[in-house]
Amino acid sequence: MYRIRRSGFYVAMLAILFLAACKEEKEGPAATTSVTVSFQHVVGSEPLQLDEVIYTSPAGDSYAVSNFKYFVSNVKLISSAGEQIYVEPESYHLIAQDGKTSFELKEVPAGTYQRLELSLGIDEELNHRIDHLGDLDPSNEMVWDWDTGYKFLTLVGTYTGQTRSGGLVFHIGGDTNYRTLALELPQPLNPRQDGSSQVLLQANVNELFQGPNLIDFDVMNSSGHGSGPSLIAENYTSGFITVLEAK
Amino acid sequence: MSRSSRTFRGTYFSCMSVQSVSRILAVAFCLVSACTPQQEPDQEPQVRILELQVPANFPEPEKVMAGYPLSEEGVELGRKLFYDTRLSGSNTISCASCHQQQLAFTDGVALNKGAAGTPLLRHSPGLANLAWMNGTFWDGGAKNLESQAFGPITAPDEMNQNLQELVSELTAVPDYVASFRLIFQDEIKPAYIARALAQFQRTLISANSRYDKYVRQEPGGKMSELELKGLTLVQQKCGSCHAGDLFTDNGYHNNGLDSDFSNHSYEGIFQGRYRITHHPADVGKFKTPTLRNVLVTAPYMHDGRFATLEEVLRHYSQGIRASPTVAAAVMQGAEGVAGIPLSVEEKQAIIAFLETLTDYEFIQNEKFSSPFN
Repeated sequence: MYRIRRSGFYVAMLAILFLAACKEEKEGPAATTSVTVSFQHVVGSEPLQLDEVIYTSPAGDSYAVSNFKYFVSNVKLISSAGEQIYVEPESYHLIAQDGKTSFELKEVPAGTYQRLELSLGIDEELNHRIDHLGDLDPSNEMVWDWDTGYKFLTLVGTYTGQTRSGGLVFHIGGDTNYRTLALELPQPLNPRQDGSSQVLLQANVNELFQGPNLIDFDVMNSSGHGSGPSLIAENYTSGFITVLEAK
Repeated sequence: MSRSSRTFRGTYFSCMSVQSVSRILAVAFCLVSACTPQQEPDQEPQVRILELQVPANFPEPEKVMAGYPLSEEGVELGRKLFYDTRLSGSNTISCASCHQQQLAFTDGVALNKGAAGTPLLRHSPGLANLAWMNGTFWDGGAKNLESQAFGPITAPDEMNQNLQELVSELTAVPDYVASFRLIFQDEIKPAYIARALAQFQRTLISANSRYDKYVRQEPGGKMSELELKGLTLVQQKCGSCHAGDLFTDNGYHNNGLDSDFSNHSYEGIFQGRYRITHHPADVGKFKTPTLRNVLVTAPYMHDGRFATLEEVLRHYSQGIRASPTVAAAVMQGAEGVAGIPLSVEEKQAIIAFLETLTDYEFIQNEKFSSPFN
């Protein structure tokens, strides 16, 4: 009798698993939910608008932005004691002022998350080839084809400095400029079952040009492919992306 | 996961033990397969997997990345794309415009003109034994064949094609759509175009010259005394770079063509490998091209500056320009004097030997020829 009951239990469990696996996610017993991560772009305290607005750089130069894109990758949510870590699979997002500005972390387990981790750029494993799909598709114009790899961040525009004026071309890439940011959330995030949880981030373009390296466009108005990009990369590790809200 | 998917690190499960991951995966697999409608195994056409035949006198080729198997169909698709002028913006230039089979996939001119009508800045390299090469372009800037193709296709002065436009042009051809579907289980995407081209390029193996038949002791492998003398000279005096039976170390060297590398225009294109690594030790270094088929691949060097083999040998014996990064191998004179001492007779023997490296089967093999003829 006991034996029958036990095997019956297993059969029932298997049936439940089977059905759960075949059902749509939202109908099943949802132990996970989704969290939306969105980006807002500003220059100092003003919203970023492509081409139209003249901004002032930290070094006092005037500039306008015509193209602003960057890769956010390997996103994680980490609980306060670090005991629970959600790692987004296939985590590569091209964030663009005139394109995608948010993405959804799927199947985030219930929990209390205190920290968001993300990387700017593409990790070495994927950066050493460009025949990828999705946001990494080489038609996104974020690749170098003569020196295999991705442009981690692109900012193109024009400037008027104290002594010169002209184009601004910052293409930042290279394995050494792949940087991971750990962002403390202003309040713990408990992802809700209805999937309405959000983390709102802000990227401040002016922060690319200061802290620690003040960039004077009269001196440096393009990144080149040598040590120049590292100056910007040091800046985007510090204060470029901040958390506005987690709810 | 389809074979065309990217390989991602399985980080989602990184906090669990390997054992529990494998258990979960096993269960997940069972459940997923339970949901999938059962298919007859032979219902969906499969590609025929192709193994590269490694010549007996060759080392093992570079590892092809996992998930990138060669197939008969993939190679055939790559061959079509290689000869298809749709790959250029003007639909007049194909890969084969600068890589012609009868010239061992070179083009016979120092600096060819591409879409912009202006001479390119580097000479079209030959394509042979690419499966043994771990970086392409004269400076190794492309880390693998799958990433290389995007360079010439999109460069404004080469083929000047927009990748999205290329995808739509190929998608208008039902045969292409069917081939990509079969090989990559997906619609046409830039990544698959490059992967198919790379599959074809890996099959471009040149290993049937008279020299090869000689070393493998096969019929047709007779070499004269002069040719054998040339072989010994090449091994002794040129073998540190033109090494082994690939006749290249696939490395980068400054062979004394120039001593001034201060011109950093065109993102450092004249500075050689330095433009990629930014190591001062790499200034003026360019990839060693193979000596195979060298009689049909004139002109020579990364900029095609030498029209004949005689000029090349004159350079190595008398024309070396020393600079801090010049290769020791071209400083073989007594007490480090520049150049490789070579007598007139030695030069004749070397050229006689180089003739035995012409692989007529390679430059006539119909499997490598245009499928559109």
